Amino acid sequence: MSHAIETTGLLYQAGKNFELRDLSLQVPEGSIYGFLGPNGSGKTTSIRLCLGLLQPKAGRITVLGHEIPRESPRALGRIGYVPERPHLYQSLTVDESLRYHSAFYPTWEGKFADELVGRFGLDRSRGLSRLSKGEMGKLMILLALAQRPDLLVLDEPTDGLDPVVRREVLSALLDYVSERSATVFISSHLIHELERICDWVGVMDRGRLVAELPMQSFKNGIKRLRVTKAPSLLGDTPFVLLAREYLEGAAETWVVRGWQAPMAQYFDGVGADLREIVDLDLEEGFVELLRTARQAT
Amino acid sequence: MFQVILFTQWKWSRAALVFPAVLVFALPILTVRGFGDATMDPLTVISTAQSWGPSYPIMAIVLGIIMAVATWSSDRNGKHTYALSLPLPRWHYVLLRFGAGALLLAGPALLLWIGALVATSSASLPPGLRVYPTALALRFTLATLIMYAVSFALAAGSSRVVRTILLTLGFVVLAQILLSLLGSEFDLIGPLGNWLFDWPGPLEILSGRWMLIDV
Amino acid sequence: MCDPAQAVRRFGGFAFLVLTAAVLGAQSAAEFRARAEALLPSYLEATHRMRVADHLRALAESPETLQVGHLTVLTAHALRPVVEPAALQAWPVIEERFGSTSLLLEQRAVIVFTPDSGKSYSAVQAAGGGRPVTSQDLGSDPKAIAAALVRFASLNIWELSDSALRSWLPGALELTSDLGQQREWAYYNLVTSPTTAAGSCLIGNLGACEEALGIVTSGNPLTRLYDASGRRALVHRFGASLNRRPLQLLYYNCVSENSDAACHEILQSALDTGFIRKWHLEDVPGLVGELPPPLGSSARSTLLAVMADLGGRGAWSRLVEAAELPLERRLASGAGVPIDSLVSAWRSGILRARPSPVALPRRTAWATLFWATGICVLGMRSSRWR
Repeated sequence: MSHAIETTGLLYQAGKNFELRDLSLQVPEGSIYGFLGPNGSGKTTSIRLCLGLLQPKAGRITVLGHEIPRESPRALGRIGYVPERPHLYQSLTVDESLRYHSAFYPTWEGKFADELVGRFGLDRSRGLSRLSKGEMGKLMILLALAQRPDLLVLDEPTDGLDPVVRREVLSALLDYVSERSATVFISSHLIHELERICDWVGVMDRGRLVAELPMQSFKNGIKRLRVTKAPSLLGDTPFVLLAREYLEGAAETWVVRGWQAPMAQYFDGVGADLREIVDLDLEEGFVELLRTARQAT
Repeated sequence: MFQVILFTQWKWSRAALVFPAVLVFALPILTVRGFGDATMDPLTVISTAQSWGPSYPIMAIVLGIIMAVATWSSDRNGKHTYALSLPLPRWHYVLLRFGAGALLLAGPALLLWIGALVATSSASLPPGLRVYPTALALRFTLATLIMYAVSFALAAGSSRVVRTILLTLGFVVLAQILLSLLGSEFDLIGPLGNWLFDWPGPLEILSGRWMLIDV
Repeated sequence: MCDPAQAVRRFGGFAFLVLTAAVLGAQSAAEFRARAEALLPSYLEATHRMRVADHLRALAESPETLQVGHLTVLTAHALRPVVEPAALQAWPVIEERFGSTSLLLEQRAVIVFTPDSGKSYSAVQAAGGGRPVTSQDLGSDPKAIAAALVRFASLNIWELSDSALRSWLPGALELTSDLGQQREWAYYNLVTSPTTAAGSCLIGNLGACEEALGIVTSGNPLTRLYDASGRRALVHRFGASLNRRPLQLLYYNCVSENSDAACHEILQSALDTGFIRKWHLEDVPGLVGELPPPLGSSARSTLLAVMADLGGRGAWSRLVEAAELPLERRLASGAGVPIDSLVSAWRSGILRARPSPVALPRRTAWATLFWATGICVLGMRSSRWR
């Protein structure tokens, strides 16, 4: 499987308090990769490193086959980027912004841009400083899409947008992806939003990538188990035990990953009773994942 | 690409440039105001032209700084994210911005030249005196360019670079004050000024003779 | 006895009241402007006198007399620490320059004082208890005060010298200010003078230089100093004054018809009637009739400076003592060299003081372009952009 984004052993330091350590990401080509993590976990920094906006201290980054930052101009020509905060020139109008942006991208499709302007209901003559947050979000997505990129890098693109606008933006995004088979690397802390659209997920916490797996495995593989009479020392388990919580008496709660039904036999083997299997939603799984990762460090 | 860069720069700087540009156009006209007949004492004419002289480099400095600030203000507001995410080498982007600013500064220089031509053609001067509209406009163009380049480089630099430069200058001034307080005759600022303003220093153009009328 | 400060204050107050009354009484803006303009000089004069009176009173309260060489400096007690080193610094310069002539300074005194509690100092030159008083602000820098004292000395020595010298160089002799600047002005004077003498001097004719400087004089200045175009330029210069009856027709023929005879006649007529002197722009009578001197006071002052440099310590004494000799011999005696050598040295100095050309030197243009490019490259190489 080839990768649209691949980083190996990335190290980056920002001041004394933040460090990105040993970041090894693999974003499969053609996937919609959700980049999850709490605020301040290093998502934006990782994105900026992947685009060549920041220089890593160590490690290797390849985006669409281009080495970053050496070949970042060539890579950026094929990337549609929507940053966390509006970065466009506030003194320009929508129309002027379109003209400005298009001048830098040979792949720019004016007709598609016009279509999106109509679809998003943007007023071409309006100054950017007078756009609402939703309109600005739409414009940024519009600019990123109209340049017909092979990779869309979206840093919290729907953060702060109302549900209607969010739906419009995501819909346009999905239409584009289905038409072009482009890769989308989208960061967010809105887990439910990503749950609907992503097929891969990577989870960041405190500057480290704590998990990277297909969304399906992430959603289905995490369970909460109610167990009694389990031995205190466990040998090899067929699943990944993420958390173990002791309740009253001999009862315990386990959070496991990679669960499959035949694994219930494991409990008979160790003399324990499996009383209940509870499905966790993505958010609970995410929280458990972070908790486990933090306990491990 | 250059066209859109030029357009944005024009849009950002035009409001700030209008007044200095009008002033620049008016300067030569104000200089020769009152030189309506040839009966004036040539030395009075020279003296008047000399007294207006410093206004030209001052305007060149003001224009250079205004343009450099306008060039980077929008990028600075967006923390340079847009500029850095564009698909062209960074040096290329900086060069485009520099070129656009320099080209726009040609406007006020051209206005000065026209103003100087208008002023000198309407003035009647005593014999022995000559007018230098083109030399003055050329000097102004280069002075604006160098001031723009200096301010542009400072504004384009990271805050660390700017801090280092300012700290160095502050240190030199402080050291000079301390030396003076200690009664030392050692001059730190003088040689620095000489280096800057004497040939082949970067600001030599500012220290030349800014005369619209001379012998 | 009437307190002068009080009297001046009263006058100032009165002037202010009159001015206010005029403002209130004025029926129209034009009327008001005319009245205000008429009263303003009186008001300013009163204010000035008030300040001088204040200064003198402050001085009288704590006087301090400093005697350095032949230089007498009166100042307030509080200023002594600043004025004394300045006087000590100034005196050797004065003595070096004027030698025994500096004895003349014993007839004069200079007053240095501060108007507001030691923040600034003024050297005063106009009247004030018989002493020369001026209200020039000298700041608190002893060097500036020393320079002003030297200036004071040269002004006074010149004022006390004989009438022949003073009529040759009326007004102020300023040898101590920036000679370079004076030479530059002399250069401008030399190249812009419409006289043939100045033109010939510029190209190296020393005799013409002596004529242009007014050292030697003979014949009718209108024909000796000016050619046809010079005469026409002169008529132009006095334009509006001469363009009136009964000279109007001559003026027209001179200026519009390029008739040199008309130019000559109109100028001669104006000279004969003293008209040119009346309308003289510099109001400085030349050596030659009443025409403006080809080279003015800057050129003559610089000639005296060259004389002093060549003649050394005794130059001024020799110049002053030989009062009965013609000017050219006095100058030669002061310089200790023949007059041609003196004038030649003066001319070389003036030509050396030629201001740098206004046209942009090519090397400056290239250097600026080089620096602009270099600085732009530095901007491109900034760590932000790497």
